[in-house]
Amino acid sequence: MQQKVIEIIAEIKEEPGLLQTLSGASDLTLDAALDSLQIINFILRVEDEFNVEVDFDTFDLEHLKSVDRFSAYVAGLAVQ
Amino acid sequence: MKNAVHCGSLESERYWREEDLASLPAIPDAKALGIVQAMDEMLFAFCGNGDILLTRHGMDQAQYDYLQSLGYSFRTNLHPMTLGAEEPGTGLDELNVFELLGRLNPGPELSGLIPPGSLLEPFAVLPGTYEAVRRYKLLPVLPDEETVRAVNTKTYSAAMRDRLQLPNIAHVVRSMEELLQSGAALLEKGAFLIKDEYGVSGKGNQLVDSERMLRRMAGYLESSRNQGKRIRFVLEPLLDRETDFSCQFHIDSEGRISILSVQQLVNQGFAFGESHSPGPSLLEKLDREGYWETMHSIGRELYADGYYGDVCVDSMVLRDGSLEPLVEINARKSMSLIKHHVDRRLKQEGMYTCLVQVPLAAMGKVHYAELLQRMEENGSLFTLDQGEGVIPLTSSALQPLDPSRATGSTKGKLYAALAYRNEDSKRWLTRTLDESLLRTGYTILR
Repeated sequence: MQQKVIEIIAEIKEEPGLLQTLSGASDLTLDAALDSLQIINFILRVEDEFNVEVDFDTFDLEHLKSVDRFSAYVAGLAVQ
Repeated sequence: MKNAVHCGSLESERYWREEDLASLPAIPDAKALGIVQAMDEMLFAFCGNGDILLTRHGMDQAQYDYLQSLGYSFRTNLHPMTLGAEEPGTGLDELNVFELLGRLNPGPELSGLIPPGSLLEPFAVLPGTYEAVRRYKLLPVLPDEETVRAVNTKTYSAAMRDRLQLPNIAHVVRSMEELLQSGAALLEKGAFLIKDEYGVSGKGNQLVDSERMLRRMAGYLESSRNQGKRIRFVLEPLLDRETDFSCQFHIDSEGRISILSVQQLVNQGFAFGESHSPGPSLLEKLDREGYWETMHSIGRELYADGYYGDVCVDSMVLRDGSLEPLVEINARKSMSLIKHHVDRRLKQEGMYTCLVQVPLAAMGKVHYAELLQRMEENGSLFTLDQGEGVIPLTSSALQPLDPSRATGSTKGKLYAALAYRNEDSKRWLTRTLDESLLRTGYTILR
């Protein structure tokens, strides 16, 4: 899942170079520099890819602290 | 002539928004709010000699001294506006700057700064503006708050196209059924945007490019956050835009309209990237296609509806060459107007100018004075003698006070004007600015 998440980030940012520079430890707002609008589009794209639904009302920005943390959050949604 | 008090909240749309309107998906970001609240420093651009600038966080002394060296001669607060110890934790960050001024204990710094009888020059008329006017005995030549709120909606802009008999691609939807029906019809021809009534660049526009996305938006709008709230959005096909630009004009209290400038925008996605003066080919096209008359007509209609003051109309040229003169009306001052005023004051013969933003992060406390000093040493800081260089427009937005008081990294933005002789010098200034920021301790988020 981690690799797919990185691919989606690179797609949203329109920066293929991110496929090389991002890792599981990368912060989505600092290292990937997703802005608020891009975060929404990223999440919507992730929902589509993994067939999950994120609750925007309760979403915690802490989930974006690393690709690994975000992937774990999405994996948690998938099993619900 | 009376001195003016310049003051405002650049996130005006946040305060105009009616609480019972349903909203598109968004993630609350206190850090982003902290940045935009600190952008009010840029209103120095409107200050004449002896005017007063009031800012939420207080300007850094180094920035104040720098602006004085460029010939600006205004007075300002160097300390943050706070409610004081008697009202701790009263939702300070929820208040716009006028509400804050209305409630705070002015203290010696602010009391000494605001001379009764001055003219208030707000970035925009917001809730609380009139209370602040009364409290500080300022002179309002300002339109009514409800009028300002109404003319800044997307539905008003859409209706204006009909009033001026311009092609109108907007569909106003007021129910879930209308949203789904109009959305499905639009999707048959391609992607479309759902626009919030008070959406701004980078926020409040949602691209819908599939039926699944349309259903997801509908589902979100029926979610708990939006239960019992009114649906009111504008749907528009996604235009194949080639050039974004905006026109700034002013309507005086007698209804006279003065066109001030046109600024071309280089957006990053739907968010602001860079603005610069347009080339002759765009201006010639605007002359040929009656653009200025359309702007005057918008001004006349706004005045007839009770609005006067500054206006920024967003426009576009599409890839097929057609002109979309009215994308959106912003009845307030604007970033582009700030750029125009900086140009008017500092642009010298033979120079080009642009306004840029650099998103930043910092781990520890970073000192703004060090950045200015470094830029001065490496020759990238604008001076009147050189007529070329970077003019930083904000100091506290680089590392704003975080409303959430969260620890860890802080996020900020530098807004700056660049004055340059040619594209090579622009590239050198951009690179040297980046280096200066990095060496001062900021991380650049691009």
